[in-house]
Amino acid sequence: LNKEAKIGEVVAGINDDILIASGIGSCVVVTLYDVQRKVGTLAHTMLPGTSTDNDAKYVGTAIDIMLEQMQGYGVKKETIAAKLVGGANMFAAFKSDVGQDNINSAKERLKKEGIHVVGEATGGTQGRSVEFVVASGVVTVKVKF
Amino acid sequence: METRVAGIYLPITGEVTGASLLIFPEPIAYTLSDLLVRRKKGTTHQLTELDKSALKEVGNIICGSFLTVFSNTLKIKIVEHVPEFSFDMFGAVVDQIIAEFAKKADEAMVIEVKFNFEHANIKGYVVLIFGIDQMKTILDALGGGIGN
Repeated sequence: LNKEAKIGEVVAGINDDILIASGIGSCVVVTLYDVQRKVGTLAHTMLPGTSTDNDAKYVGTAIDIMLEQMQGYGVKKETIAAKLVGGANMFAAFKSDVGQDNINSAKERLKKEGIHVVGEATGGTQGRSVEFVVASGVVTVKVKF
Repeated sequence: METRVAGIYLPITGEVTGASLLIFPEPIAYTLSDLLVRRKKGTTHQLTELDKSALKEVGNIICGSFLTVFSNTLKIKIVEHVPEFSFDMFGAVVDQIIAEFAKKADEAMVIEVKFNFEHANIKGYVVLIFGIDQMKTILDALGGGIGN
């Protein structure tokens, strides 16, 4: 089953599920995976930090929700591996680089939780799309050129 | 969200701050480039630096026209800045702009304008975005005001 996460959404999958996020610019997609149980979750986040109202637009909050989902499948934190995609700077005119802030925020949060980032395709000035095949744990990143 | 578009972004400052974004779908960007740099119609399949520069100038002119009307009608001082160009997936082109406003508030004022040059078959969109904190200035200028 294909499950797509739009901005501010988190999707979880098992078995043959494929988790998708399309058209990622400065947003950051976080994937968490447990290779033994073959359980995965993907978040499409937009802003650094955490929210007070459980809003998955924020990277930190999204990671909290993802960890709850993984724990719901009986996964322990120690066996989870994370991947990060996105955080581009599409327009240099912005004085702040929200993409980089998002990446930093995700890494800080994951480090705090003791989760290793095993792969990333981040930064730059190009948009990306992500496909996460839960059965294999493979995350494919597409660009439009 | 994966459809490729040409996006020309112009920051707005002045009495209100915001963003203006001109968007052309990929085929339209090619057609417009043919017209702008005087190539035979249907010959552009990749954008050169010259094409990008020409499209940025189109953004300057079109967004500038909308902002001038907006500024004159509402009697608000608006300063338009140097355009920037991105040719990428639609979602990627707009998400950073949305994020910049979402940092401050959950809501923004978005004005979408579709335009169509019939003879050249050129269609595009202009999106003007203002943060929620600018809303009062705009509504006051309209003679209303929040709650009225």
